[in-house]
Amino acid sequence: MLEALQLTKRFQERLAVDGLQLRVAPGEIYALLGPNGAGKTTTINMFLGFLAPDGGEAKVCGVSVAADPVGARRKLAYIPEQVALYPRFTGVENLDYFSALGGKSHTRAELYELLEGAGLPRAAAERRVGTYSKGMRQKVGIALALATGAKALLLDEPTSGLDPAASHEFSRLLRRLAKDGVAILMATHDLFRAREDASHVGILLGGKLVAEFTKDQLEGEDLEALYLEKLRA
Amino acid sequence: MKTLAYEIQLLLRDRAAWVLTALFAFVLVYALNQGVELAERQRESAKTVLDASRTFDGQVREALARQAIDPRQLARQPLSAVLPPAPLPLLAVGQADLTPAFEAVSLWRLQTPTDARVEIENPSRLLAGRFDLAFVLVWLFPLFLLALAYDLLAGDRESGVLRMVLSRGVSPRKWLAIRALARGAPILALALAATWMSASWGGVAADTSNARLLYACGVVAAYGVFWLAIAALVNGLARSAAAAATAVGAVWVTVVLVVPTLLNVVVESLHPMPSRAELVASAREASGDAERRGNEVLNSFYRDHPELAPPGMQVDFAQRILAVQDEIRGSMDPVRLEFDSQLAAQQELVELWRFASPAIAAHEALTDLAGTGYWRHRAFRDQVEGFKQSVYDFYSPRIHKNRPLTKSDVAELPRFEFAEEPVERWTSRVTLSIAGMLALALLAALLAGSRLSARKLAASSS
Repeated sequence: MLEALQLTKRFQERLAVDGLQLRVAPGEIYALLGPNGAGKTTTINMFLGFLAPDGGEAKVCGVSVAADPVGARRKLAYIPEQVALYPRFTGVENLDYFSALGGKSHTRAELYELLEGAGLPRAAAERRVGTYSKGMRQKVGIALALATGAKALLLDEPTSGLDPAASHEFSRLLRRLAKDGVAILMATHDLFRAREDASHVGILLGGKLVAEFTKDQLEGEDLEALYLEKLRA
Repeated sequence: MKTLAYEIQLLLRDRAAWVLTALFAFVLVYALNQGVELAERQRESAKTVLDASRTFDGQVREALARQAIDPRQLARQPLSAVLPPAPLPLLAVGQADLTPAFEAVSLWRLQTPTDARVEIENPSRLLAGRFDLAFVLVWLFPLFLLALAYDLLAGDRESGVLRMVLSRGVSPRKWLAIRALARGAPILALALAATWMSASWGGVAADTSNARLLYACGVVAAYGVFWLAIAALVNGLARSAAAAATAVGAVWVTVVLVVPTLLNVVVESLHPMPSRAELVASAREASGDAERRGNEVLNSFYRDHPELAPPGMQVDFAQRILAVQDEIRGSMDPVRLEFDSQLAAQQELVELWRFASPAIAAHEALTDLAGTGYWRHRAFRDQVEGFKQSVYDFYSPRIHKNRPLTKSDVAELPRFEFAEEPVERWTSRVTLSIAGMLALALLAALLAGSRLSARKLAASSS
């Protein structure tokens, strides 16, 4: 579970995140929408413990990020817009290396299974990551989330720059993770994917959560129109 | 362990790392080879002089066993004072032009500084310095180490991998320490292997060589750890690989070039050495003056030492020379003392300020361990002075009293045997150097650690 309790972050005079109150339960996919500079990435950075909040608290599976940043990070997985990996390692080696950093150890067979589960065939997993497309890197990121058994997943613009097929494949994997009980918070500009995949959608504007919808509430509604309306308000 | 294995694998897949490691190995082998040649030459010289000295000593003993000999006859022959080959000559060949390992002690020229160089060097070669193992370890080893370790995390920071790493909940300090160890391992291992090989390749010349070798490895390891800590510190601060490369280069120039040069300038300014030419010139002047005043000097000598006056005051050439020598000693002592005290003051200052640059500390420690540095040669020079005194004390009363040497004098014949410094003296000096370098490394590591929180690193990552 991911919780933001009156989470606030200020950069000098500017309020980047303003008293954000948010909860992502296990099995939920929460899409955080908002224009550039709305505070989406700042929120994710506070969940990762990369930024200290000026007020409020971020919790990962009940662990306060401020009190125990390493413990909190061990419970989550993170997939940025560009999944940066070591180009001299193969996909399977990268997965093994990053799993080991998080204190997890897997056999080679398990690692291949995880990568295949994330949609990366064995032949590709044995190739150096330097030759990978963005979509393939994202799959390694998903495999990493699977490998670490993370209970929470943070995604920062995960489908940006992916072709429709890769984006669809990625969504399928996300839904699978959610089904397995992972709480997923996804900062995105992709309204289509948000509508398709998210169980909850929040609109962040100037650091404030100005609207929140459940999937049921969005049924029959035009998310784009709602989003633009909030932006203009 | 798995992280370390992967870090090593990452390094092994870097072609530049292979090239650098191979180049460093070549440089080490070349330096050792150069050392073999020079050490062999020095060993040969010492052996030649020692053999000649032993042969002469044997002949004297044989002759004295048969008949009494006039001490003037023996005193004509210079006696050899030889510094035995260094315990670890290949580690640091030393500067034979400045620290000669041989001195011919002649009763007739006891007070005259001798030019006892056994090696003649091309001045341009002296200017460039020796390409020995100590040079490679002090000057080039950090460069090779930094070439592999300058980008401990700056590149990952630029590429975004660092954020992925930090998100795994790993301790950045532990991760960086593992990476520094992996990156430094090949160069450090080669440096340690070459240090170890300097004994087997160059031949162990003293009982203490193995202990010295262990200490030398300690010096090399501490020096390497210092440079890895510097790399960690720079990577905690630099935001890009290019900035990190520039910064470690600047630190190398400062520590290895600028600080030692500045210290040299300060030492020379505070304790300027009288020139050797001046020393020789004043000796000649004193000698010329004493010889001109020959009779006056002799009368004055016997007034001061009536117990040495020959029967009937029948004075010959040898007695006159001895009296003149005594007079020269009186004039020369202040000059020589100044020379020695300035040299000692310089070394004291270097010892005191060696931690201003670990390069100085490492070099001092390595030459000390090799037995080609200041301290062993200082001990040699002090012992040569003592030997000169014992030559004078042995021959002077016998010549003045016209007492021939007999079989009973054999046991007292002056002979030079170099006594090595007690082990605890050099171990305490070297231990202090190692401790100082480790303390500086710890300081750099602590400073690096303060910059290595996940939050700070993430804030500066892309």
